[in-house]
Amino acid sequence: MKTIHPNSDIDATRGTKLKEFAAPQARPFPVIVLADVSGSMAEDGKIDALNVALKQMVESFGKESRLRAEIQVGLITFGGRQATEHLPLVAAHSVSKIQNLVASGPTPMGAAFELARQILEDKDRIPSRAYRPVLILVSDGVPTDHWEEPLAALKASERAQRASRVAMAIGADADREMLSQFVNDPEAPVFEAHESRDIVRFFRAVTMSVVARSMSATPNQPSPINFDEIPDDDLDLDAI
Amino acid sequence: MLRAAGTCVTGPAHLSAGHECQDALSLRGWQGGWIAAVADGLGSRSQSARGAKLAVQSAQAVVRRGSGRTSVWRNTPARDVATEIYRRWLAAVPWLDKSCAATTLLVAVCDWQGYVRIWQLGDGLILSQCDGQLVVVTPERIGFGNETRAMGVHKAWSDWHHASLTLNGKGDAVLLMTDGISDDLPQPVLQHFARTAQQQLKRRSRRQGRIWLTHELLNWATPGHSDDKTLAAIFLD
Repeated sequence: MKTIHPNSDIDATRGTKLKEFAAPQARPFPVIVLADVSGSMAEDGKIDALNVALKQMVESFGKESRLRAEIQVGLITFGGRQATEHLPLVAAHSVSKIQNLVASGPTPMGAAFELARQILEDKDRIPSRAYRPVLILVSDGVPTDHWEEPLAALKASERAQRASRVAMAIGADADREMLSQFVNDPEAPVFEAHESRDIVRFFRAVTMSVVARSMSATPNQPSPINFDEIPDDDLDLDAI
Repeated sequence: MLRAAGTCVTGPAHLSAGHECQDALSLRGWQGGWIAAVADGLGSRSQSARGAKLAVQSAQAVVRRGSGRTSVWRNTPARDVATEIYRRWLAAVPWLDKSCAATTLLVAVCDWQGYVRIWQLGDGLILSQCDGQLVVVTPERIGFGNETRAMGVHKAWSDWHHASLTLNGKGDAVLLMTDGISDDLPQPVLQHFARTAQQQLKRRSRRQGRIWLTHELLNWATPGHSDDKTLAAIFLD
């Protein structure tokens, strides 16, 4: 049992009605992307497609109703020597701009797992009232750091292991064995992106699933991610 | 004088879908004290509304069937009481797959001397206010919202939380609430919330207190609140 002393941090100016103590925000629904920005992502337009896909996803989240849940989005990048919080976890509707990702260096994926675990374990950043978070891992290569231990820690930690984990393998060189160890949703196996437009399709599918969950009466229940149902009818406007 | 009040309201999500409330409340006098039982049927289970009702009824029945002697009741092992409630609930749930009626359960039994015994399985929140100090009886939640232990799913004694406390003076109170309320209450306001509930309820009759509580919970301020909401309070006046 936890005792809260009378001089603890309470707002004595609050009104006398119970409803006035209720939190003024809907429950957060965190979505955290772990994006590979290693040098190989610069090839074949992969990083450009990822930049477009991420912006579309965040814009879509920001436009959604915040009646039942407030979708929050965070972006962890791993490339070069370390993993960094490119976009700290924040309400999607408040994101006005995402700096373009730039690809370079090796693939420190283990560092990204560790950073994700720390964020998920932090109750100040993700309170207990939040809906079960979603972790999205995208990579086109093989980790260049010691990833096994951080992934095991992520999967074993009390809070972080509860997040839904989905993954996309980009191109033939992606480490599918490792990515399959990451995912924990039996209805959403590792998505295979064979070309740049598949990256956009993947994020559309994830966006639809997250939005469906955020609007449902039971946002903690998984919403199937059906990649096959994503329409691929965009005009090919990149060709000159 | 030991008094009590409580209410259970259907959340907007169930109202708009035409579903019945999946919370349940049973608050009854008992030998000069009170038995309060609050349950929250798991929204994902088909018979959870029935499961919640049967849980609060089982808790009432088990305590009432026990010894009326204060010393015997106080010394009855907490595990035995929880086991008896669970068994009774399992026998009452008519479906073979008991998990279809999965529900949380929060119970506070206050005897005529203000000694309170508490059992909790699953989420929700139990607070006590004694001598001006607020105690959060419920252990801190490990996971995220709407993830819970429940009758029909979890069967170990270690899944339960048990505690006891004493209401000594005027203003002392114990509050039980489902997560439809507790998940929207930031930690810093808990003490003021408990104090306000007790102060407002002591001014009103039990019936008027229920009407006031119902109004407060139906007009909950959190945007998009959807859950059913149940609150029970036992307090010394």
